[in-house]
Amino acid sequence: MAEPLLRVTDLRKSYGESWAVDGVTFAVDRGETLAIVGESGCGKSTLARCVARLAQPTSGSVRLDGLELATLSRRRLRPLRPRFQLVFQDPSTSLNPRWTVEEIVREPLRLQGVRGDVPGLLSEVGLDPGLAGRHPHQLSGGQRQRVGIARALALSPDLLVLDEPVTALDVSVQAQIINLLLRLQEERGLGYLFISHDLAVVSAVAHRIAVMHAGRLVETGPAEQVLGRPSHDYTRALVAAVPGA
Amino acid sequence: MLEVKDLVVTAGGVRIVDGVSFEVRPGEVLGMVGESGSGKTMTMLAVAGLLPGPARITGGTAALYGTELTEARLERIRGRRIGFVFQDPATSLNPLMRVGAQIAEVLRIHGLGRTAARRRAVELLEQVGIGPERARVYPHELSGGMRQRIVIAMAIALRPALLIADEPTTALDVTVQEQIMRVLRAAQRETGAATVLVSHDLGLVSEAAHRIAVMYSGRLVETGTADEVLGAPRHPYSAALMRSRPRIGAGRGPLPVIPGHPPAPKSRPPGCAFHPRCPVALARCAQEVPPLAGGVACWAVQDG
Amino acid sequence: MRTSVRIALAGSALIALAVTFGPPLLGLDPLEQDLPAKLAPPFWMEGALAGHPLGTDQLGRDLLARVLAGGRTSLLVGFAASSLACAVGIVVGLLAGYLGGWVDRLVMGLGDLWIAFPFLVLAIATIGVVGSSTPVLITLLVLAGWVTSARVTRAIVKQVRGEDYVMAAVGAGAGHLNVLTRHLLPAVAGANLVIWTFSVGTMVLVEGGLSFLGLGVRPPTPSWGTILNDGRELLETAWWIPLWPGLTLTLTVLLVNLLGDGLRDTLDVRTDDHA
Repeated sequence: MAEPLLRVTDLRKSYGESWAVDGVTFAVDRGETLAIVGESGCGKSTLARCVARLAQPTSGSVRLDGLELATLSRRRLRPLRPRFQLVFQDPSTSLNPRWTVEEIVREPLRLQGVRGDVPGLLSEVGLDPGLAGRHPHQLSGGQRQRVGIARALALSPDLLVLDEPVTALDVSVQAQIINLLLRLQEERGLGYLFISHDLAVVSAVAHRIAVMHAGRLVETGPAEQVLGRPSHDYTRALVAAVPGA
Repeated sequence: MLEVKDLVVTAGGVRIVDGVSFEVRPGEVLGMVGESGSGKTMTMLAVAGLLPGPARITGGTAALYGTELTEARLERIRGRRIGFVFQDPATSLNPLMRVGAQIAEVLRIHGLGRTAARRRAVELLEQVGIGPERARVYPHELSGGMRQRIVIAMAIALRPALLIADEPTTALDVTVQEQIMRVLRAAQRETGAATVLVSHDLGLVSEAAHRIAVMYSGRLVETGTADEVLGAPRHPYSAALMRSRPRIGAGRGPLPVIPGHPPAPKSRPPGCAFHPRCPVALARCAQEVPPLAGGVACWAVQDG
Repeated sequence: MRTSVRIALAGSALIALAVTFGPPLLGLDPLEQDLPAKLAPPFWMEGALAGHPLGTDQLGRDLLARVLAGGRTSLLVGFAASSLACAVGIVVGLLAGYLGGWVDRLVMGLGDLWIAFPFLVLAIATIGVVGSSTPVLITLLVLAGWVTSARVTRAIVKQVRGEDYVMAAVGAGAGHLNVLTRHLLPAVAGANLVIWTFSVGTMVLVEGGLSFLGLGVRPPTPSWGTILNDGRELLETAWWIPLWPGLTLTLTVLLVNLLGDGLRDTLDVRTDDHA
């Protein structure tokens, strides 16, 4: 069997006495979306940060194309960073308020010392390149999240870790961003690790779903199976709690 | 019963609420839905006399059982006849006061004696599903959902005629959301208060509201029963909004989107504010603001 | 910008220009003694002397020249001390806030100790040992003044270093130095500008106080504090000697604080470190 894009094995992360992530194993293929769903405090954001190596896992393995990331130092990670990038929940705190759109999207390019086409990136995420000189506070929530996505794409990653990327957005904007993510995945063959608490949102983007509860994955499977015929009690409770479903 | 007529709220020369009219009968829950900047929260803050900073009412009326809610009289009316539940329970509670005492304080301000207030506070706690032993804890010792229950208990303490819940579950987890909505609905039924549930979450509103009002760019574009508006929306904006929300069971794939984004009130286009994004816009839509007639503010629907 | 801020800005600039360029432009010498002309009153009083509009002191030195030149010393000490104190505070605060852990505990513990420390005792002791001079004075002011800036800087850094945009930079390969200089330093700049402004006022005032006590600038070099001291014993007969430095000192501190208030509101920054 070919090596998946991302393989996470028995990942653990502790804060003091408690385990935020307690032995999590999964894989994500190229062009595939694996959604991790769970409620706040279940450890899904910590998991995202461990995978994106913004936090150091306590133990376990994070392999990107077979290459171990979990144990690498900040310095060793740097040249590998372009291959996996993060999109954040709240576009109002994930963009430096003092910078222009141009500066924000160019930052990863500058850090990695590579050339890139900022206007092209802005167009790709559906932003008018004429907005390059604006500051984040001059943009709408949806436009800001597009800037965050353009920044994540700047280094042409293979994997995007998306931490609640549409949670802070309005319904109509949510749909636009979901569609943008679907299109980008198709065009670029991206693998998505999509972290969310919202089962309805997840159903629109995920090929597979993993349900996280108290630091562990309680159920993993194809989206329609997990949502349609949940096998774990906790998953059933989650699905039943979705209003209007 | 709450009657709002042609309400206009202006901030910095811009009409952020532009001629909104609606009614809420006793015991009824009105779901007020709209996206950020649609004016749904501002409308309710205006009704409650809680408009922030530069915003003020520059037109129209709001009456609660015939009593005009003018700003001068509100001070007295507010606490007693209008109850609030805001989005973030953490900021609605005094962190330095035991929760039981906070509820009792509301009652005492309005004339109840010490023992009576304490007894009633315990009753209220029970009503929102919190045991009397929790009366002596501080807000930070409670989870978000528990805190929101306390806020609900305070909101209904004086048996208000009007209950306003602004995004009451947005800050909470899904499974907790459901419980809080149950508590809120029970509290609302028990008090018989006319209730306005402000939310961006159509799913939530669909389960809790009898009637729904949809706002867009400071105006009301559609009202009707929950079944009508959510099941067969007539305004092109409501219809597009319903279609664009992801639903479990719809499967993976692109969602039907509304192109563009809602205009800020200061750059609201002439005529119907939705016309530049509307698939069925007529020439007239760009010139005249459609009135809310028969529950929908749309020339294409009214003329067609 | 509000009117009060404009006035404060214009007033402060005017004072700075006057004390810097006044004496050479007007050809005034603050040290030149003219004993026959001693204790001349200011221009509106009987016995005033032409060429000495603000009067003279007990050695016949022109008070206009001395107040301008003294202002130069006072402002120079104020600017230098505030700038250095802020610089030290920023570096210490950045490191404490960014590194956290024991560095943070050490620095902040030191800061707490510092604030409780009787600065005047330190000043008197130090000057008693090494003598008084302008560099010693500046050093003492910096030692007393770095803590505010360090604490505010640390509080902001603690908050900003966890912001998602810093995480995004790290996720794109930013090193520590990059995060510190590109994201954190600009984030603390506004608050420190405000602190610096207020601190200039405080430092000028403290310099005045120390020099008045004979612990600061050494005579005959004029500063507002030393002129005040010169006039101390003649307060009943030649009250105009302390009047001028007293007025300019008050006015300067007032203007600078007004400017600080305006900047704080304009930049919308917090200058206390209790989050």
